[in-house]
Amino acid sequence: MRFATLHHDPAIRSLPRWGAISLATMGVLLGLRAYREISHSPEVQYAHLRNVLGLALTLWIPVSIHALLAGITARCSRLDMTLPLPPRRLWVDHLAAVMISSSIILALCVALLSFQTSGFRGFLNDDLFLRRPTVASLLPLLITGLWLSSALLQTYRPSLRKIHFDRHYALFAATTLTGTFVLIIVLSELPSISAAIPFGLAAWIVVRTYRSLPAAFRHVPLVAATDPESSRATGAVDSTGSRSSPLLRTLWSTIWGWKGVLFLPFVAVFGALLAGLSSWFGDHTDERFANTAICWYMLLAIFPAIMKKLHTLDALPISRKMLFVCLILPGLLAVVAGYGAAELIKEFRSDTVEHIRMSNHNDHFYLTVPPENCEITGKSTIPKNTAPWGEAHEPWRAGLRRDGTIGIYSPFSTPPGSSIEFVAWQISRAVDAVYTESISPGEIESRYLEIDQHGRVVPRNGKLTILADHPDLRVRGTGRLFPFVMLIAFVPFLLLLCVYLSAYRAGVPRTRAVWIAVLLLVGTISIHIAGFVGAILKFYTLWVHTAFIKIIVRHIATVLPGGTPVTWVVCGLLVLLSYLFAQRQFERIELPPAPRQPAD
Amino acid sequence: MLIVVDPHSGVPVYRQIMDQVKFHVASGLLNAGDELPSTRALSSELGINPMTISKAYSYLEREGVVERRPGRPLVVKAFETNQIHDNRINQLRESLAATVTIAKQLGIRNDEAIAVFRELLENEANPQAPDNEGKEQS
Amino acid sequence: MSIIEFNNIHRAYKRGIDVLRGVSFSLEKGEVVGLLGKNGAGKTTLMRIAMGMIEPQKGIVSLFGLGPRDEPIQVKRRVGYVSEDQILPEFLRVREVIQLHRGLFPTWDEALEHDLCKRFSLPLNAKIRSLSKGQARQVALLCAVSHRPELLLLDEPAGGLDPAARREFLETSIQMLNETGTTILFSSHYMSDVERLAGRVVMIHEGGVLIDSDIDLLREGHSLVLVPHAPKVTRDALLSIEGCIGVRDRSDAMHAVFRCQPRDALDRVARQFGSTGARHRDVALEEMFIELVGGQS
Repeated sequence: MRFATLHHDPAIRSLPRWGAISLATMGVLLGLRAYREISHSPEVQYAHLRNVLGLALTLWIPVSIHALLAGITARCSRLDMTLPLPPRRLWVDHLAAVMISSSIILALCVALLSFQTSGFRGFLNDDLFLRRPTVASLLPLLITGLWLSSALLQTYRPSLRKIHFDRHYALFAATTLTGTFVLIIVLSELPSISAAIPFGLAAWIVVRTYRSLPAAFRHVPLVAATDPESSRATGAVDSTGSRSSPLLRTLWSTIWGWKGVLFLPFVAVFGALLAGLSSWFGDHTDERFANTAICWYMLLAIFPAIMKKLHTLDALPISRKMLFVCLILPGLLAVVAGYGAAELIKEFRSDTVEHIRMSNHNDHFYLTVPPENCEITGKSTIPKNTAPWGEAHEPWRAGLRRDGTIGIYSPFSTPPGSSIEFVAWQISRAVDAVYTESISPGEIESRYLEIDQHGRVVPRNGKLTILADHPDLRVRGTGRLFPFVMLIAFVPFLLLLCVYLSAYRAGVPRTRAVWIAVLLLVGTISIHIAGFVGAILKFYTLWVHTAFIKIIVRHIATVLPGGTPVTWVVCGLLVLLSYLFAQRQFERIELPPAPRQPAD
Repeated sequence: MLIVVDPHSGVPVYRQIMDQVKFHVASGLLNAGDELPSTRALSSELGINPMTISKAYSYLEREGVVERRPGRPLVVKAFETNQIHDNRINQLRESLAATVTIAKQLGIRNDEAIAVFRELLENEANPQAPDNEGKEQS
Repeated sequence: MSIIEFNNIHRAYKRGIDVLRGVSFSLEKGEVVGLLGKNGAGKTTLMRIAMGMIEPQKGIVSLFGLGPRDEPIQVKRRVGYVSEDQILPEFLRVREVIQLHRGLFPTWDEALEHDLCKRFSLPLNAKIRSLSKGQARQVALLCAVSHRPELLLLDEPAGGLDPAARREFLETSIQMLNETGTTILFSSHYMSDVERLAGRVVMIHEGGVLIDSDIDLLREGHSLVLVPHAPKVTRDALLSIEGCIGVRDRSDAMHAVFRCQPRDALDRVARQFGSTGARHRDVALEEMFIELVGGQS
């Protein structure tokens, strides 16, 4: 009997689904962490705290998403309420189910984490993994913290059969989960026995809630006895006086609601990653296109949940076009907003960034230009950079695969042995390519270069300050990347969405939609993870991969008559076309009907 | 005017209305020139489809029980005195027709059936013997 | 032109399991048609097809001459729809639901809306999720009729409601009939509601239209004969009699439905079996339903 109530608890029943979702989330987070590991030098300051934070956060985020959204708010089913079982008994069972299910989720995440740690240990060159606090030392705190937050979440309106997910609860739950996380971090500095503190707190809260349970659960909260007659008496609904249009509110709350408020910021973060936000933590390599597949994943992930709710609007004369705008636009706007915010942040920092630099490697100053100003090659021999007076040098190159023939090379490289004239000539060409104005080689040579006592060509004062000295210089092709980023983020998403929507056509069994959704999500996350695994296993280099696309974009923008504005128009049109195509699919589908019984 | 509709009875609703109007006319509850309620009013009152009421009314009109005047409610037609009597006899005849069918099916002889009918009539006149009636209805 | 026309509608949810196999009928202006059928016969499917929520795999449906999938907005604006499993946006207040509908339907009649609000005495400030089932359905009805639709599609509208609320529903529908001449297609398992409201019934059985008839003709053209049990009175013998369309073996007698006048039916039974004490009974729609649909399974 007890096993039966546990078994049919939604927290247990939804475990397979949430196990998959949590593992996927965990995959994303581990991908991001691995990405940081392989692309950035380890920060020395606060290394321990950073590692604890990173590790705890990696595990806490999937667990929090589960606790927030897994629909574990129903303390018992409607059927249970009719059985001769006291609410205390039902509540204890539900609490047990919630704790068991969230512990399983945590265990899955820990398992994935240790798999990743052990699986890739050999490939990660730094000893960060060895200095990192082991999962084992954090685990007691994480588990007891998890129980504490489960117990705390249960204190919300204990008299109700089911907690209604509104903004009050969303705020309460978010505060609880963040608060518990902070507690875990604070306690992690204390000896490991401190795990008893959250455990004790949890036990105390459970006992308190247990005592405060009513004799019978209620379906709806008792409302304060505001005289209902006062509103009835008028008998009329005034047309004015409402704060917002009921149509917009209905559309928003039906499609997105509070879950959307929680979800869309995540999408925006991936928009920021697509703007290359991560490139200015640490060094300046830009690997933004490594995050494309995860962006598709994020945009697709919310759809199965949204589709279930649309039946409310099906009978109303609201056009499918309008519905589709409401379905698609917030996600796309979140990406664009994230991108825009990242660009703004970059703008604030850009005055310090020289695009053309001379950096010292192995006692030689190499000229480096932004990767998009390099060129693509597929051959093993590249024409030498030859100055008008005949001086020629081998260009610098980087393979997409290490030692591969396909890769990029810099037409502006200054290998050891370059004369000062050659370096000045190359810098002048680089300025031409990168900026909209040009500076003559003579000026560069006299102003920026000198020959040191070893006979090497070095920048005066150790670095080039071209941009700092010429504030009127403008970077060529600003903004030409944005439409392409949107193109590769949105068009595949919209086409994948078409595949998903095809499962809702007439006569297609309802279960197919579930399968297609799982396939699409697993597929996109696999592309994402494969990208990072490939990078970790050194199949290719992420930043070269991104540079590749940027170079192609630069060429397209220069070849297209009209330049950047035309690329915007062309990319915009392509996105619009795929949007219209997806919309056409959406107009054809049948929305899934209302569930036979109200979902619990 | 009292009209009651029982949707569970096997008799079509329009026929129930017709029968009751005819009964009221025959019994004198409705007199010549009395207005019938409008289709709308009656349909709202009884909670039935107005088309059904119209149907009943038009059959009544065809049978000559009521008459329609342009732009006015239907009224009960004026009858000669002997016609009223004829109507009553007709009502009774219709009710008895069903009884006759049952008598035939049960294989009851005509004289026996008439005796039962006579006995019932006499008992009705003499309320001290309600037993027979009770038996008959069960 | 018909208000609504179903022409050879086919629909399956799973391949090979057809819910509807060639359903055709149409409603003229002002007609009230009761859609009958067992659970799962496809009544809801038909209603949803009419609303353009789902698509027939074969066949054509048109409302006011328009395809509900081609011109969804035009069609939905002229139709009022209430269904048993319809769910209103539960986070809105009653007031806001009404405002929502008012904004969506250009022909909204505020006088009717006020009238119905008063009649149903709806708690305007209450959230939909806190309403009782009956109240929520009343809100749905108010929203479905206040734009004075040309067609009302009521899918089991009184399902799960108490008699008082059901009566309220009936009266509101009748008010719409009287004032607007609305055409109504409704399905209901309450046969007394069907008898009160419908002028015509369409019975869906095993994917097709079993009966499509004027309700009075249906009852006057069919008769139920109760034949007492006897060795020679068998199901097959009864079915072999001309006009007999259904037989059910009950404890009191064999119930046989004939498609003819009662007198003829009794004569035919007498001719077949001799004097058996067969009786005729007036058939209420409910019994007709059971005899026809229940008797064949």
